[in-house]
Order: sequence, then structure tokens, then C-alpha cells
Amino acid sequence: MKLSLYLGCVIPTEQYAYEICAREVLPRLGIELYDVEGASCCGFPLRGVNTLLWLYLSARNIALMEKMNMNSLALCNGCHVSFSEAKTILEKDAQLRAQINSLLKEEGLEFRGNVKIMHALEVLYDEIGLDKIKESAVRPIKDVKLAAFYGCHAIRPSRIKRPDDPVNPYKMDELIQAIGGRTANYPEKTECCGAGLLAYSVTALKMAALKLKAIQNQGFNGIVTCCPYCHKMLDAKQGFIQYALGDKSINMPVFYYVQLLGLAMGIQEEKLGLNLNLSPIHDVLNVIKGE
Amino acid sequence: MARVIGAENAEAGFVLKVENVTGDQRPNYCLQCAKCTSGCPVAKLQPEFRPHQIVNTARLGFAKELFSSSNLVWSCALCLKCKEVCPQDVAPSDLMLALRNVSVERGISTPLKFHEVMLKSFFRNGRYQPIQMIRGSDGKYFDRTRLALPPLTVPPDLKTFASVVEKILKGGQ
Repeated sequence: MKLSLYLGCVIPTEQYAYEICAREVLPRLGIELYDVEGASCCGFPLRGVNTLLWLYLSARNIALMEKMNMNSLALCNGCHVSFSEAKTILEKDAQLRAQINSLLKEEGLEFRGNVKIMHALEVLYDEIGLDKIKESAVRPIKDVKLAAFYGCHAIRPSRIKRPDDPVNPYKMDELIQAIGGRTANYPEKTECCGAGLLAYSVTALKMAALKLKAIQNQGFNGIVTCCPYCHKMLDAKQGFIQYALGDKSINMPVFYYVQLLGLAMGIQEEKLGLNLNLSPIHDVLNVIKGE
Repeated sequence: MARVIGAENAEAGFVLKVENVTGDQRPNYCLQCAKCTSGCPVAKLQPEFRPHQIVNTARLGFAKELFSSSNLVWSCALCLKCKEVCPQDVAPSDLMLALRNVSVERGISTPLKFHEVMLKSFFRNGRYQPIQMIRGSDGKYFDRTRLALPPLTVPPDLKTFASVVEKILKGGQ
């Protein structure tokens, strides 16, 4: 299946590991990826500054995807909810749509609202399917209890269609089981990582710390993410959280699901960006590899 | 000790201004059941941030109250739990975004002036930050080139892109 790949801001400028493992793993499962040329920020981070600007930025990227005549994969939870909400608003409000389109004309673009924009969980679970994933996992990951961390925007707001259930999400859990891992429910499963506040708040660090410690205290060996912001908070910022909150007890390996999928498919670590994970993954990685 | 705000501090028509911003916010439907505040992850850590109270403060028109406390409306993490749990579809999260819009329109800047930083980068590569040099677990540093990733795609006509962005920010239609 052909999909246009939309990366947003933080993946192509900072969370490179997600881009690396997606480009490596998805084609091997039958997904041909084509970059959305001319892409810009989806606008979500500026929604609080100017709503029309947010709508414009989301609409222009949707317009670029429409030109490519194929469905799209938005790899970031935030971008995905941004496009879903923008589409819903512009489909219902003809006047706003006309206003946006007259602005888009200056870049030679037009928003029609006829492209399906998918989330990684939808591509993996609904399109590729558990059977194919199980089949491809020639080196299943073993002996690890993993906490699936969905992030807010993959499951809310449920009034518009989200990739998974808001109260009891299950797709990432089943995807982890399909590659040999064990999962379990935990109270913090649908909580927020705090990334929305990272630029200006110590509260964000505290929110992430609460998740890390709670998951650690419940005996999980690692956390699995599907959003670059959740991953950034829990993985890249883990060291900083220890320092800022004076808590050295936090010790949680964090992986992107697609990285673990790649490992289970027998792909080498170097091709999955695992050297860019900053959480303490070394020991768990050895267990996973059966060493 | 309760704090009393006199009605003379209310701004006429404020709630209409807030409702006018595109979004699902419906402050007039709020019953003050406080389910939103009960589930709010920020309220747990910052007791002065109480979504149901902010909804009422906005509905009564106490704009000064909302915009004077530093960063009150910027304390929302946009986790959308309030929107999910509200029995009246008030969408406090959307109200927060609308309040932010109104505050920026009135010349109150964003925390750490982040929007100025982001826009500067927008005009260079269409994204809110430039390509970062990040540190790997082995202490080495990487960017797109070092990781053999394809060059970053950007809006083909950055000048036009920038001019549309600026037009919208200046209140252009």
C-alpha cells in the first residue's frame, strides 16, 4: 500500500529515531512511503496563539497530501489530532473553508477534505494487521513486561474518530503481544505525559515523573510509545527529570513500538535508531535479544 | 479566606468574544459539577489551576482576573480529559485555547515569548525549530546529515508562506 509520510516538526528536527525506524520497518511490511513535499508545521503548537493560523497550517498540509492521490500517515499524535480536528471543522463550516481556501490560493493550494490521514496504530493494526505482524516477527521479543503508553491525542477527543478507545485502548497492547511481549493494564495508561507544557513548565516534568515512577513501581520492564512528544518526555528528558526533581530512583527503558517491531523482525539495532534512545535501554535490550 | 470579586470588574460581552473563537467551547452550558477539575492532571499539581472555576470566571466576564495571574490560561496541557468527561460538552480545553487567542490579541505575550521564537524558525524552514544536533547514548552528536536521512522538505516558496502567516497574524482575512 502507498502512503504519503507526514512528519511534522519534532520528528524530522529532533526525534530522528522515529523517522529512522519507520522508514526501515514499514516498507518491509508492504507500505511504500512517499514524503509530503513542501510540508510545514501542522500548526498545533500555535493553536493557542491564533486559531485561524492553526487551521491554515493544517489545511495547507492536508492540501499537499491530497495532491499526492494516496492515503497519508501522520507519525505524530499531535499532528494527527490536528488534522482530524481541522478536517472536521472545515467540512462543517463552508464559510471558514472558503476563507482558508482563499488564503491557500496564494500558495497555489486547495483544501478539499478527501484524503484519509492515518495514525501509526491504524496502519499497523487495521491495515497491516496482527497476523502479518506475528508472521514477520521471526525473532519475537521475550521475557519482558511492557507498558503501552498511548498518549492523549491517539485516544481523545472521542467525539471525532480517534485511532483507539479513550477508556480502554488496546491496539498497541495487542501489537506488543503479536511480537512476543507481555503487557498489562495500569491506572496511568490513559494519562498525559506533560509534553504540552514542556516549553514553559516544571509541571510537565512532574507529570512525566509521576508516570515513570508509577510504571516502574508496578514491575514493568519498559515503556512503549507511539508519539514523539511522549517519547521525548519519557526517554530524552528522563535524565533531566532525575536531575531537576532530585530523584535518582527513576530507571525506565523507553522504546518506540516500531523500534521493537524492527528488532522482532530481525533488523539490526543500528538501523532502528536505538543509539538515540537516552533512557537506560541497555539491559532490557540484552534480555529482549536473548543474550 | 475567600476572595471576593465585585461585579464592576466584569467585562460586558467577554463570553461572546470567547465563544466567537473557532472551537467546541460552550461555557454557558457548565453546571459546575467539577468533573473536569477532578480528572485534570495539572490541577493535581497546581491547585490554583481549576478548569471549572476558569469556565465560570470566563462566563461571568472577569477577563482581568483570567489574564492577570501569570500564565493561568497557559497552564493547560491540552490532554483533553476535561473535554472527554464533561457531561455538558463544555470543552474547557477549547475554552483555554480561546482565552489564549483573546489574550494574544490583546497584546499579552506567550510564556517565554515562545511564539516569537517559533515564528522566526517558521520563516526559515516552515517548522517551529531548526534541525537539532542531538546527543546519542554513546555521547556522539547527530543531525539529519550524519544519520543519512533525506534533506528536510520545506515550503517551496518560503516568501509567500511567510507573508500568508504574517497576514493571518495581523488579523488578515
